[in-house]
Amino acid sequence: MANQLADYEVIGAVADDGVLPCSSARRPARLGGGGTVTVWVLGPLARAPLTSVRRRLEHVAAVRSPHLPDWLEAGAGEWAGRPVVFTSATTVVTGTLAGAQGMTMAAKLRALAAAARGAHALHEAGVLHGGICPQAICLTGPSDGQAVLAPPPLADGHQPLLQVGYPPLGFVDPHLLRGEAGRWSDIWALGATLQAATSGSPPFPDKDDVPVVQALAQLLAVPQPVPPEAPPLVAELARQCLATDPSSRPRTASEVADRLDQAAELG
Amino acid sequence: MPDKLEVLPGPGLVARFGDLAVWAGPQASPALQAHLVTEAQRLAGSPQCGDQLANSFISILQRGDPEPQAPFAVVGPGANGLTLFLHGPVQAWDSGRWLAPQPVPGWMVAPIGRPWPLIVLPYGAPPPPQSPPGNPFDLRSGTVPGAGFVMLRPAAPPTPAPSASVGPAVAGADHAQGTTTAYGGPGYVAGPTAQAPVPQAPGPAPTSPVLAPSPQATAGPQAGPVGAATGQLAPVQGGFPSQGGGPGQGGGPGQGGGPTTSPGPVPSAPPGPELPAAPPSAGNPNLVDLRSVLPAGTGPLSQAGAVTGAAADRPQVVGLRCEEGHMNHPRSATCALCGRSLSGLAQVSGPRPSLGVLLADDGSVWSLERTCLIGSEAGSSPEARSGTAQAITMLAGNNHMMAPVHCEVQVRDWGVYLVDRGAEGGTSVQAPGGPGWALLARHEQRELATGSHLSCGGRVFTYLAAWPG
Ligand SMILES: [Zn+2]
Repeated sequence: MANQLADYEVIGAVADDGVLPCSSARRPARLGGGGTVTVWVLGPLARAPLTSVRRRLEHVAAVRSPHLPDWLEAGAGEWAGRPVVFTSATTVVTGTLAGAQGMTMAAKLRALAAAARGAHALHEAGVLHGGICPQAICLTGPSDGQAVLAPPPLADGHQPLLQVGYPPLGFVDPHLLRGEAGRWSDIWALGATLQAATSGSPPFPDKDDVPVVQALAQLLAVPQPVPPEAPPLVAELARQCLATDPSSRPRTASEVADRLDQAAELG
Repeated sequence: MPDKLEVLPGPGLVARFGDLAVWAGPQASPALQAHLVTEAQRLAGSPQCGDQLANSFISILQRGDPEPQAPFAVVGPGANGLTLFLHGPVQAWDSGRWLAPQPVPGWMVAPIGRPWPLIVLPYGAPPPPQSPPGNPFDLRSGTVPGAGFVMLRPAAPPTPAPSASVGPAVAGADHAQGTTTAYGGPGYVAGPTAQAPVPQAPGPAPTSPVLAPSPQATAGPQAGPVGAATGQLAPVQGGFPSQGGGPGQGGGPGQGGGPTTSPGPVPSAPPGPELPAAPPSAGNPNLVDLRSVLPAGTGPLSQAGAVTGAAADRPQVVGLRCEEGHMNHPRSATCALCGRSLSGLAQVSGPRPSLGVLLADDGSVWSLERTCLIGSEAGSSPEARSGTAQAITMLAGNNHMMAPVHCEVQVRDWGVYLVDRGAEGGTSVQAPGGPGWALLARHEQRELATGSHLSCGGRVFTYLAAWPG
């Protein structure tokens, strides 16, 4: 783990599994100093110079929601020896759904519901997230199930459609690879994340990019089934979110959130 | 007492009727200029003529923007003080911040209260010098040439604030060190070094009267424009669809800065109250302050019903269209989108869906909806600039040379072809399962099968088809 990112002094890693590195850091004196902030490493600078992604990051940051980070900055800096684009927020993140051990099913569902509401706020402002996956569900505590949706990937379903890595390919709506990105893409990803959270395994076991991208591009992606022990409401919701036909999926992320909260309520 | 209106000399047109003032840049067509003036004249005098005129433009723009590059502005009474409507490459200072459509060009509308001064001028233009006391110029009614205007308090000029001589402080990278670093696009003129009275703007932006698309905190009902019938303006900033937003594109003259609250030209001598301090990242090209950005205002994303299988503006091809209207490859047995059977259907013409993707060696995935140009400066090519081709900008691999446009991946009918552009180093292809790389002759083209690899400038791409072969 690097101990410096631009002039942010990194305190510790919150998530470091290679998908979306997230760390806690000290707020730079330039920004008032004192207190802890969260920084995310979004991707390599070479592919996405700050000037090229600035507008997207600004569009995202203009959307204010309790289910999204409270943004500070985006910037270019060096991380693990390579130039990267990062963002920072005052929201304190304690972990992610990917790394959460010992969370109850209800807490996982509530955290995902919170992230779905963050996605909905973005959608209503015309912004596709495009990166929903367990690593993007940022737990904010102190009580279980409080979460914000992480910053989105730098590629957003336009050109390039995506940057393999964040999100992992198993969480990419096949329609996104056909140039048909929309709310339905994030809703697919919510379903895939729900499935990963309930089954403990990602929707695609295949690790090689080429066959997965090929399968996605040809709409041949068939995620693993939701395990039978999952609550019926959850299994049904995941199944609907992962429907091949976008019009068979829930219409909005807000609807997904409501149904997740309802499922959490019922235990 | 009507506000004082000083016209800024230069090309363009300024018109004022009652409390309604409009400006159009020289890029606006004569028809647009005439429409602006006659509509302003017609509506002037009604209590919320600013809202009315803005709404009439919004309803036109929502059907498509006839002149996206034409800058114009409308200021007039609305439901909440003055309403400001901006279209195209234009900016306005409302005594609190610079406003500009985002993206540029685009359009926006905002209630701005009653700011003095209010400055309207072309995007990226340097702000005017402060109006000297006793300046006699004041457009009361009519149409005159002008490059913008300044609205000021009527009658006596405002009492100079103690800091009136202080430079405009949308600047200031490092107040702790007492220095003020300029910040803004071209046209910025360094003001006098700001001294103590410059207010800091920690945390969120100053309370912003700009109406935001409101999805904010709760996942409430969809925010939609409020109809003109209520006399209220739609609470959105409007953008236009398909604004590329690529690297450095669309920024107009104000290149480095997104037209958010703070970036933008800095007046050399603010003719009024001091401006808020810039965020601490101002002036540092490696940082973007995200605490006070304005909503992009592109409107909500469409819902699943909008999935078509191909946008209407794509080239026409002959294929099979399912009963839901989704366009498919002529050899498809079932609709890729909805799964309905396509057997027995006659071939019809329709917009071409994406033919697949290019997976680059850096993990980026590019859609093949139209021809792609690969090169170190592919975005600068005439084809990419005109929108007939998609740019894939790639730097050379180690010990290789990448030409500005090194090769093309052409999309024609239902086929995908690799085309060499004659650059040094050439273009190579490897068929799926093939024996090795084959160098294309200069300007040779070859049809690609799914799984083919192509190489140019030391970079490798894999073509993956969206349709079964
Ligand atoms: Zn269909």
